[in-house]
Parts: sequence; structure tokens; C-alpha cells
Amino acid sequence: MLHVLVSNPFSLSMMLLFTSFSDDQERMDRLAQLSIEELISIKVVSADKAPRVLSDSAAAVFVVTREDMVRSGAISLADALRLVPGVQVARIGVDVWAISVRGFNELHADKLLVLIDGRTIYNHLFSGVFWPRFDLPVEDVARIEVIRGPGSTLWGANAVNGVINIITRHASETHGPFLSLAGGNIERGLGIFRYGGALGERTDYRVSALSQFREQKAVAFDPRVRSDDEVEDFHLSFRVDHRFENESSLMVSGEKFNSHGRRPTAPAPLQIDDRAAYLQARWQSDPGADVGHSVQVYIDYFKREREFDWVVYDLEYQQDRQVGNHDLVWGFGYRHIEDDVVRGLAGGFEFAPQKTDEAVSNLFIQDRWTLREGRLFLQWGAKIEHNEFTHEELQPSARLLWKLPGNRERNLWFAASRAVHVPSRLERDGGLMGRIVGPPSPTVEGNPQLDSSDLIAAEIGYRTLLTTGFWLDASTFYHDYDGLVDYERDRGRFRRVNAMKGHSSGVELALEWHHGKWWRLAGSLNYLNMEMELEDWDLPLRDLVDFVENGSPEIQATLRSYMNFGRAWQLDITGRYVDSVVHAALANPVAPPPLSIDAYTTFDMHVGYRPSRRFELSLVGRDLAGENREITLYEHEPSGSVELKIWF
Amino acid sequence: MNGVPPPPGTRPRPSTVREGMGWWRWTLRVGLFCLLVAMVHLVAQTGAGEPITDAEIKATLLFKFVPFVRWPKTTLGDEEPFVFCILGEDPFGEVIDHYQGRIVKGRALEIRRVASLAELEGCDMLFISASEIEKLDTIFTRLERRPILTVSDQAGLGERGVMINFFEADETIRFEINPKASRKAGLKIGSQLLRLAKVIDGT
Repeated sequence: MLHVLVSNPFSLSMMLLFTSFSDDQERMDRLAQLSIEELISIKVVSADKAPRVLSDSAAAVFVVTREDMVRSGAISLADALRLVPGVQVARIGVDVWAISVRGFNELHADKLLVLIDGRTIYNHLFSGVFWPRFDLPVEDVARIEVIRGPGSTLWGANAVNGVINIITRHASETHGPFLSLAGGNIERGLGIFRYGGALGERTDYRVSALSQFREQKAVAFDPRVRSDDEVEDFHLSFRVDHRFENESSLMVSGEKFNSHGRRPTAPAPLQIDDRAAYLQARWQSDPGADVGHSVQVYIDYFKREREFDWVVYDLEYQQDRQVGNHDLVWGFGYRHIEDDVVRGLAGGFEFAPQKTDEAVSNLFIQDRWTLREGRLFLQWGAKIEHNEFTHEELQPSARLLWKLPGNRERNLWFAASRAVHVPSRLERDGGLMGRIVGPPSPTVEGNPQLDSSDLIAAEIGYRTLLTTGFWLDASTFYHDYDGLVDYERDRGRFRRVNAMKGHSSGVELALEWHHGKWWRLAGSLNYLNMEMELEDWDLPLRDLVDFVENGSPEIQATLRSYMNFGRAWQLDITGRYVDSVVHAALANPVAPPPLSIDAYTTFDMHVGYRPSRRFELSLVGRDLAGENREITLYEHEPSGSVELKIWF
Repeated sequence: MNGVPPPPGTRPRPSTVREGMGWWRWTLRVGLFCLLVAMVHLVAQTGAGEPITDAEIKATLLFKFVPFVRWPKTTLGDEEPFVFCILGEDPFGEVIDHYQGRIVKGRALEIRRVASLAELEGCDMLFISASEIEKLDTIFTRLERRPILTVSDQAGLGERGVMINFFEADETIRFEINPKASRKAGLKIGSQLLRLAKVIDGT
């Protein structure tokens, strides 16, 4: 889609506009005039050469920096998450992704909790995340922190197999106008415009608009269904940061989102129109004070025309303080959700009752206890959460971090924790209707008595700097699940029940190596093994064991290479291998078609040209080794795009 | 769009398919964006908002520290340059060369890149690069009690005995000071600087 650049007279005129780049000399002179106080309060972008700092947390943590995202040519968050060792990302529609950690990947991956700036985007209706709703401009994201393994003690229910925290940039870092234009054979067109600035000495703001159009012709969704798939999105968002005289700070952000998608040639024309908005505010006390407080409120609204809508109101309070060698954090939260489901997901589901309102409240405390200064830390705590259907859920954890003595940093950690998945509205109240045309399918009814499924996890991890510029992170886990969902058959109908149990275990390895300033290599290798079994049950059960056990790739490997040529050129290649899976049967969980998806190897490429701080041109190719499929029959075609970024 | 494809044979539903969606409309939007940007650019041709890098801040801070540090009298001669040495791989590049020749403590600043400890002679201030961490013990033995202000930017080095160590907190560059280490070398770091630093009680 080079013709975006060539044929669009506007982008050409743009290229002529940024003729005057500011001078580095002048910039340094301006810095030299600042005082030390001023210098240490300036937000910086870290240089890409900075070797990764060893994390001090006793959990399997991986941080995707903005540099990583830019270098991968990621346009959507899902693309950026492919960089994280141990995360399974599967594209199953032109803008639909299934993302999960440590197995259980499907469209509504229900064991991974995702937050943006502390606001949960996991949806209570179907579980999982509506990823396209959250396609924020990568340029507005500061970093993505991914925690593999349970994180329920801090983050609550559904942080069963992992937590993803997406942190957006402070408004003071995004001053000035910024424009990005991209186009390609699937990402037909993407435009981002952002403007940020300061309002007085203590307030910064930015407004970003993102519009994109994606299209793919005649893709397979099912052995019998081929359709064009096209989606048009529009996001308008803002963020304001204010620092008060007493050093406390306030962040207010919000977004308006519209999306229209259609699959005109599916058996029945499918049209999806989404609207959403949120408004969030967070106040934090002086970070230097002995006792820290933070208060956060948000409202989140989502509506799919003709299908469903919801509103979430959320309030959270958190306090941290130091008592001797204990760093304590405690807090509470309250969430109120109202929803109305006329029909769920393209008419596939009907909910009874149609409308609900529910409240979830929680209380948590966590202590990081320094057992030996600089050496040994114990982090322990629990969250108690109350909801109206499974009632109290206790989610404790204990983690030990041991920094081994010696010149080289070596951190060893152990963790034991419990986490729960609370049934979604779909699982409790959603029924799958029998088909009118086509082969008959069984009828499924909701089960309001469905209990939560729980996980007891044991993890061990080790990270170290092997030599200068050579960093290693390894973790292994054993997860024991109880009360997983299966379907019992009762007089020709199916009902969801907590009838499956089992365990998974795995090893996750990540390596990173810097060769001087010009070359960085990163690799990861993940092994996952799942063993499930059905409980003894009075009624006959649908045997879904095979689908859960084999629905996730046993082996996943990635190798990423980042090269700098001179100051301006970058060449980055990411290769990945994903093992075979058994079709996860999204459309009809009770009668899954027995299909297996082959293992595949493919690679992505990014060429970046950044002749100055204000201009960047990149060329991105994805799935270049040819067609492949992930957890569904959706075919990944090789795709390419060109992106132009200008900071005025 | 978000959602499963309809199971084959799902009942058809009424839909209001919108015509003419897509490509040209996107082009129109992009065009409008461009126009908007062009206007904004013309109105506010200030050029603010470039990202400042950590290297730029650190390089600037390094020379802001100097006035707050007292070197033993004997080592200072007005005619001689103030020598700032970078040991190992240089993380600053051209950024720091900008300060070459500036006057600090009444002496002209000289920036010198040194590859080995043998070249330490004459350094007043030494930046220990990330590439040298493994040799840290050797470096300290070599520096023993020499009046050279040591600086680095790697986690944990303050505790190990580097006098001023940069760290990142909340995306800003902060620094920690190890006053014991500087005292051993006969340097005195002023209280005004200590007040801005995280003071550590290391070796």
C-alpha cells in the first residue's frame, strides 16, 4: 500500500512540512540551563541500548517496552503481545484475537486478566477481552507488563493464569503534534493523530485520534464458511495529568470508540456495530511521603447494537506504608455492573435473565517483608472478594525472593498461590440455541448454580545476568485446577457444570543478548503440558478433555533479532514456531468439530528508517513464510504494511 | 468487530448493512487529519515534544554535580583541564561531546574515553560503564583512595561503592550517593547535592 504515500497528496505535503529539525546543540544548551532539581524531574525515554534490568519481583514478569513495540512494527496491542515469552496469541479474525497465558486459549480466554492503567478490561459477560476495542496507539503506550501465573492477591478474580498491565504514557511525555499513517494489504489504512501540551506549569494533556480500516477477502472461518471480513474503527481518547502543590497527582482519562464490521458473504450477512466509552480518574498522594494513598474511579460503557450493552462503575482505594522492615499495601474495591443482553455474539446465545445488575467487592492486604536487607524478601498476602453468585473467594499467595550473593545479580524465587475464575454471565445464564438450518446442534442452557473454578499454583523462577549483556529468565510451574467447566447431558440438553479437573506444568525460558549497541538478540522457549480428567458424575458428560489438553501448543519458540545500522536504519526479524493444536471449537463448545491445526513456523520483518527524531518510516511484513492457522481455521496470509510517523 | 463467526446455519437476523463503508472514507478521514495537522503545525511551529533521552539528562547532570564536590586541594591546577573519563563502552556518544571545553570549577572540561585501567592517570571523574561491571573489584582496588569521583548507572552499584549512581524511577533519572565511598577517597560531596539524592549506606 505504498500508494498511500504516493497517491495521497496530503501525505506528500506533510513530508515537505518538516523541513526544520531542531538542532541537537540547541537542545543540550537548553538542558544545561536547567537546575539539578529540574533535570531529575524530566521524564525520559530510555535508550534502546540499556540492558534489561533484572526484575526484583518474585513472579514470572516480562516487560515489553515501547522500543520493543516500535521495533516489532506492532500496530495493535495483540501484535505487541506476541513478543512476550509464554503468551499465546492467535488471530482468529481480521480484528479478533485470542490471547492467553499457560494454556486455555480461545476467543473468550477466561483465565487472563488485563488492565489498562489499573482499569480492568476483562469483560464479565463473556470472559476474556474484546481486543479490538482496546487498539490504543502503540505510540501512547509506555510499557506492557506481563505476569505469567496467578496474580489474584493483588488483582482479584480471573487473574488465574496471568495478568497483563498496559501502562500508557504520562501526558507530559507526549507534547506536540504527532501523526502516523499506515497502510497494507490487511491493515488497509491506519491514521493516528495526537496533540499534547501543557496547561500552565502543573498540568499536561493530550488528545489522540485513531482511525483504521482492516479487510481480508474470502477467509475461512469454518470448513463451510468463507467470507470477506472488514472492520472500521474509530477511537478518540484523552489524558490529563495534574501535579498539585503538595506533590500529589491526578490523572483523568477517557475514550470514545466506534466500530463497524461486517462479513457480507457468511451464510447470513453479519453486521456488528459497537460503541463504547470510558472515563477514569486516579488520585495519588505525594510519592515521597511515608504513607501513600491512591483512589481510582471509572465508568466503562459498551454497546453492541441489537445485541447487548453493559455499564461498569468501579471504585478502588489503596494505601501503602512501611512498618519496620515490612512494606505493607492494603486496599479495597467495589464494582457495580449493569447489563442487558438481547442476544449474545451474533445471535449465537440467549441469556436468561436478559438484564442483571451485580456487585463485586474486595479487600486485600499484602506485605513485602525484608527478611535480610538486600538479600531475602517474603511477599505474602491475600485478597477476599465477594460476588453475588459464588460468594466469598479467598485468594492468598506467598512469594519468596532470594538474591544470591556474588558479584553477578542472580535472583531465585518461589511462589505458591490460589486463584479463582468466577463464572461469566455467559456461563451462568447463557444458552446456545439449537440451529434452525444446517445440521442439528444440541441446546445448551446456562447454570446459575455454576461454581468458580480454582487453581493452586506452585512456581519457581531464576533470573540472572550471565555475562555483560546476556540476560536469562527461567521459570517452571505446576498448576492444579479444580472445577473446570464441562457439559452434562440432561434429557437432550446440555448444561455447564464444574466437572473437569487436572493439572498443567511447563517451563518458560527467555534469553536476551546485547552485542554492543548495534545488535540485540532475544529468544524464548516454552513448554506446556496439560493433563485433564472428568470427575465422576451422575449424568453423562461431554468429553472435552482432549480439547482442553491439546487446545494449546505444547511448544512455542521465538527468536527476535534487532539490528541498528548507523543511527538511522533498523532491521528487525522475529521468527516463531508454534506447535500443533486441536481446534478449539469456538462456535459450538458442545459439539466441537474434530480438527487439528498444524504446527507452523513463520517470521515477521521490520525495516525502520529514522533519519531524525521527528520522522520515521517503517516497512513491516508479517507471516512471511506463507499461510498458517492458529487456533481456528482463520488463515494468516502474508501481509505487509508501510508506516510513516512524524513528530512535528 | 468482535465475535465468533456465526455457527453455520444460525438464524439469519435482520441487519442494516451500511453501504459504501471503508476505503474511501478512511482516505477522507486521513485527509482531514492531515489538513488539521498542517494547520496546527503552521500555528504552533514550536517544535516542542521531542523525547529527551536518558543519556542527555545523565550527561548534563554529570557536570552539574561537579560544583558540589570538593576535591583535595593538591590535585587541582587551574591550567590543567578537568578530565572526565569514560571507562568501557561509551553510553553517551556525541551527547556528552557537547560539553567538551566547557568551564567547570574554573578548568576546561576534557572528555576522555579510556579502554583500560592503565589509562586512569589524570582522571578527575570516572564514569564506569555497564560493560565494566564484572571488573568492578579490580577497578576499586586500582582506584583505592585516589581522589577520583566515580559515577555509574547500573542498579546496585551505589551499594557496591560507586560514589554517584544513576537509576531510573518513574521514568525520570535519579541518583544515589554513597558518601562513605567518597569520604574514603578524600572527596567531600556537598549537602545540597545529598539533599537531592537517595543517600545509601554502603561500603
